[in-house]
Amino acid sequence: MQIGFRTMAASILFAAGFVGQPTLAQTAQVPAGPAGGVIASKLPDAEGVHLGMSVAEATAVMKGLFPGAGLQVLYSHYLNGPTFVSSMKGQSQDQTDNLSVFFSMPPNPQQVTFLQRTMIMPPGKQPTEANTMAGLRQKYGKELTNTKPGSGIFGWAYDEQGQPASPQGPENWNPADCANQMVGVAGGQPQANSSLEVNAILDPIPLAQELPGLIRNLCNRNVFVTAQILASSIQGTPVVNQMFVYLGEKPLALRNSVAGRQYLEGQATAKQQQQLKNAEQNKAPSL
Amino acid sequence: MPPLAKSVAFNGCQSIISNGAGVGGGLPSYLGVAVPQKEPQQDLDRIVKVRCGMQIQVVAWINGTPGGTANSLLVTVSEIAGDLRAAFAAENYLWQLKSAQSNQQLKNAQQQAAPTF
Repeated sequence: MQIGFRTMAASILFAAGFVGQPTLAQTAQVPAGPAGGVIASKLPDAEGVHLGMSVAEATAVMKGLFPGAGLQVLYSHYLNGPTFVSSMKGQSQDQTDNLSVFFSMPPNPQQVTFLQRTMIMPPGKQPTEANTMAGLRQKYGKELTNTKPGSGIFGWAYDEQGQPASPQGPENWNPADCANQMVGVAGGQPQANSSLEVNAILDPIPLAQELPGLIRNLCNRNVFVTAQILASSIQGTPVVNQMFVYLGEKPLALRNSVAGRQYLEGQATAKQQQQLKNAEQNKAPSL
Repeated sequence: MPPLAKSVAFNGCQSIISNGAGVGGGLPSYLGVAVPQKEPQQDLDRIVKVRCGMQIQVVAWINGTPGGTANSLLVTVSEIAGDLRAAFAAENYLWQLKSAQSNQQLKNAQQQAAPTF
């Protein structure tokens, strides 16, 4: 099975399959990260899994949160390339808490670029919306004010050093829509030797053509957190039944995604050149 | 037995609540057709008024040929005032139960800490 690059997720770089491969030549337009790279501990987290963590770091936290069968690791690989971990899914024993971790793909070192958490609050364990918001504010700070008011959706934004940011955009732009717009990640398959392939050749739009749009996208300029709260009312007091939390390190995802696309397009070009060279070296058949 | 204060046959007045007669003039949760709810005052007024102020209702149904013999006789005696009191008490009880449950749910929710983020 093959899947287009743009719809994919991230992973662990197994073995040394990508060592020595070309990495992202930083294009001026692509948001540059902090000098020396992002420091995961400064970026937002969900239950201790920070954006920017390596596969090994995230795995260690996830194993602690979801021991045993509660943790599922999913794998992908490029065409004829080594297998890498592309995402992880953790589920609590009572199945009320689910956390998915998505890693950027090689050749750049893989890092957590997106997190998705779904919580179902069973009867008797449903907090008020006020308590929940207090918890969210304690964790992520004061929410943005230019998100959809009254929709139960709240947003936070940061720079890549983890400092709060206040991104502005057109009136119809909602920063709370950013965190769950994933780029450069793949869900993957539970079997490491599965046939799932991430193949840029299948993407009909060349990177050069697609890049300006990705750079113009305001969502790709910040780290975002979005919380969606579904509540019912008890005597007029909103009580939370279910909630979704999304975290996205969008500039890092874009950089690593571009690097992945460049790597795959480079592979394709090299293959074409080799085919051409082979053809040129072939002697004409005896006539 | 005292004489009838007035004849109430076929005058549109409704009988007891608890046999389900005249649901339109009844108490929904008491009749088991709805969850407990607080009855608005106008509904309470209506429920009482459609009983025409009756306290005890005696209805006799005679089946037969006019001027001839009767082949059956059905007499119902209903303590309407008592039925109304019981119905309102039950409705109030159910409402209080629901209210207490709701209070407890709210208290639980207020004491429930936000999940760990």
